[in-house]
Amino acid sequence: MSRFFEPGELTRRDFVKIAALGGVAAAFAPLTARPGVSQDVPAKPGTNGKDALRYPRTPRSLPGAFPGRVVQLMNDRAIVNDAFDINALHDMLAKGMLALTGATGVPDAWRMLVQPNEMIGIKVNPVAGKLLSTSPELVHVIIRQLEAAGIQKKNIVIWDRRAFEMAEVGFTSEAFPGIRLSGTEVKDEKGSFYDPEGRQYGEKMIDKDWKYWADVEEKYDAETLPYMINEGRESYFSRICTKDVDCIINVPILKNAGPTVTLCLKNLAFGAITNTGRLHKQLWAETCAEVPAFPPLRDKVVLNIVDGIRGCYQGGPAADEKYICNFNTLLVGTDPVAVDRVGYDIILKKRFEEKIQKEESAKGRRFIDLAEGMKLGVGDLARIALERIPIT
Amino acid sequence: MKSLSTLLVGCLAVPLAGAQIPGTPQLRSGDIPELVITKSGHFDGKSLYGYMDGGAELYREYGFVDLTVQEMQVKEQQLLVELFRMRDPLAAFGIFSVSRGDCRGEDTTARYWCHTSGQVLCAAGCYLVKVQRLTSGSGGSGLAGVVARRLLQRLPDSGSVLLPWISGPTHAQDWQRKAILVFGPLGLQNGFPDWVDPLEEGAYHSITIVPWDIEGKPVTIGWIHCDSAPAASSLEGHIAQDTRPAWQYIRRCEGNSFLVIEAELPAEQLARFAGTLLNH
Repeated sequence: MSRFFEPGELTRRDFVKIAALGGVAAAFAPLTARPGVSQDVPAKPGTNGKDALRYPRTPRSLPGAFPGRVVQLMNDRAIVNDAFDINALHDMLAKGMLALTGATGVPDAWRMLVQPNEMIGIKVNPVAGKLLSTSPELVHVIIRQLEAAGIQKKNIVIWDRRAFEMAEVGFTSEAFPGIRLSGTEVKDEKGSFYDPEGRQYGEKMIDKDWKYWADVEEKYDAETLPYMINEGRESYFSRICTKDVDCIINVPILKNAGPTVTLCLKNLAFGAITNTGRLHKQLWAETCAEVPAFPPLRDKVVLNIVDGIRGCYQGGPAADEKYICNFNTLLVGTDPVAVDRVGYDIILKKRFEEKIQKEESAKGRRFIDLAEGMKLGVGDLARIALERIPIT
Repeated sequence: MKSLSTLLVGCLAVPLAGAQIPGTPQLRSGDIPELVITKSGHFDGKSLYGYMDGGAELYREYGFVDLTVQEMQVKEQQLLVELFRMRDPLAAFGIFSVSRGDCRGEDTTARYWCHTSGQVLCAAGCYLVKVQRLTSGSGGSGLAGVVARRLLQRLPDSGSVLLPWISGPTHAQDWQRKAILVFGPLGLQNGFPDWVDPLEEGAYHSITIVPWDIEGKPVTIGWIHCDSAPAASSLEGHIAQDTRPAWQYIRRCEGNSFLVIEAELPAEQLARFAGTLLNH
C-alpha cells in the first residue's frame, strides 16, 4: 500500500508548528495522483525495428538451435594468482558445449553450430579497456576448440567496432598468429582515421544496404565523427557481419549498465552498427532488441558465450576497479535473450548483496522483453531451461 | 577505465608518449621520485565518446568540459590518472558522488576524497581526480594517494562546494559527505538506482539524496529541485503514482523544491525528523 503523505498547502512554518503541537496526524493526508497534473512523458523516437520482422527466417535464425536453453559453468579456480587459468577455462567451455548440445564429444558439439568451410567471426568486447574486456585467454580457448572441430585459423576473424581497442587489451596478431583481426573503425599506422584522399577508412567498412533507422540524430564534432563514422538518422551495419563472416560467436562480458546489463544483445547491437552515440540516451533498450533482429545478426549468431570470469556489477559499461569482481562464471547458449536474462539475475543478485540496489528496476529487463517481442529468444525465466554446472 | 595506448590519435590530444599538454593541470616526470609519465592525452567536448564510448553519457550529463589522461609508472607500479574538468564545482561534486561507492578511507587533502584498494577518487573545485592502479600487488594503493595529492596541489582551485540546502541540520557535515547529487537519469542510475523508476520520466533540475539512518532504521532523504513551480507540481504528481511501501512524502510548498523521505518510521517520528529538515 502506498504511504505517501502530503501536507497540502501547508507552509513549512505551519508544518513545524503543528508537529510541535502534536498534530502530526492532522498534518498529513494520503497523497494521491492529482487530477490535471501533466505526466508529459515524451514519446520514444520511431525506428525501423519492425522492418526486421519482414525478412524470412532461416533455420539458423535466432534464437538458434537451442531456444530457451542456457548452461552456467562455475569454477572458483578459473583465476589463480590473478591470472586466468587456460586449462580451467577449457574445461568449463567444453562442459558447457556438451551440456548445451547434448553431443558426446566437444568437436561434435561445435560442429552442430559451425562448419569447417565457414568464415567464423568471434565478436569480442574490449571497449572498457584491459580491466574489463572479453579475455583473450577465453578467446584462445574458443579457437583451440574450433580447431579441434576442424576449423582452420584462416577461417576465424576476431572482430569489434574498433581494431585499435582490441589491440589495447591483447587481441594482437602476435598473440593470435594466423587469425584475422578486424574492426569497423580503423586507423592507419600513422594513427589517422582518414586515407590520403580524406575519406574515412571506416566508410569502407560499412554496408549501406543494411541500416538501423531511428528518428533521432546528433551532430558530432570532428574528433568524434571517426568513432561514429556517420551522422544522421541512419546507423549502418558493419561489413564484417554483413559480408565478411558466415556465422558469429558472440563473447560479451558480464557487466552492468546502471540498473540493467550489457551482455549478448548489447554487444551485438552497439558493436555492429555505426552512429551509436545518438542512440544511448533515448533508445538504448530498443537498439539492443531491434538491431540483432536484422538478418546480418539474427541469421548469423550461432552461439553466445558470456565471459563472466571477471565482470562488474556497478560502474559499467565503463571499468571502475571498485566494482570489478571475479564471478568465475561462463554462460553458454544459442539464445541471446535467455542468456541475457540469466546474466541479468546474476548481476542483480550481486547488486542486492552489495547494497547497490534494494529493488529491481522496471527499466532493468525492458530490453529483454522487447527482444522477446522481436522473436529473438525467451526472456521469461520460467520458460528458460537453465543448467548450472559447478566445477570443483 | 581504459589505458591510453591506442586512443590518443584523432582526439584533441597531443598524442605523444609522455608529452605535456599545454594549459592543463597535470603531473610531470620527476614530480614524485621515480615517476615517469609514459602517455598523455586530452579529450574535450564529444571526443569523450572516443575514450569511453557509452560511458561518456554520464559525464556529459554532469557538464563535462575536458579530460586529461596520463599513464605513469613508478618502479613496477603503473597508474592511470584521469582529471575531469566539469562546468562548475557542483558538477564535479555530482560526478564524484555517483562514482565513489563504498570508500575505505577519506583524507583531509580534499573535502571529497574516497579511496579503495585500487583507486583514489576526489573532487576539488571544478575537477574530479581519479587515480587507478593498473598493476596489482602491494604498495600501489598508497602510491595512488600520493599521486592524487600531488595533482590536487596543481589545481587552480582546490576549494570544494557545500550543498547549501543541507548545511543547516545537525548532521550536515556527515550528510555533505554522503550526499549523492543527481542532474539526470544516468546519474540516478549510477548513484541511487532504487529511485530510477519513480523519477525516470520526471523533469527536474537536480536531486540531492542522502542515505541516513535514525535509530538504526534506514532513511533516505531526497531534496528535489525543479526549474519551475509547475514542473515541481508535475513531478510530485508523478511520484505520487509510485507504490513502494516505504516512501513517505512531504511537500515543501515554497519555491520549486520539495522533499521526499523514504523510511519505515512511525508517523510521529517521521514528522519530527521532517520538521527538523524543513526548519532549516
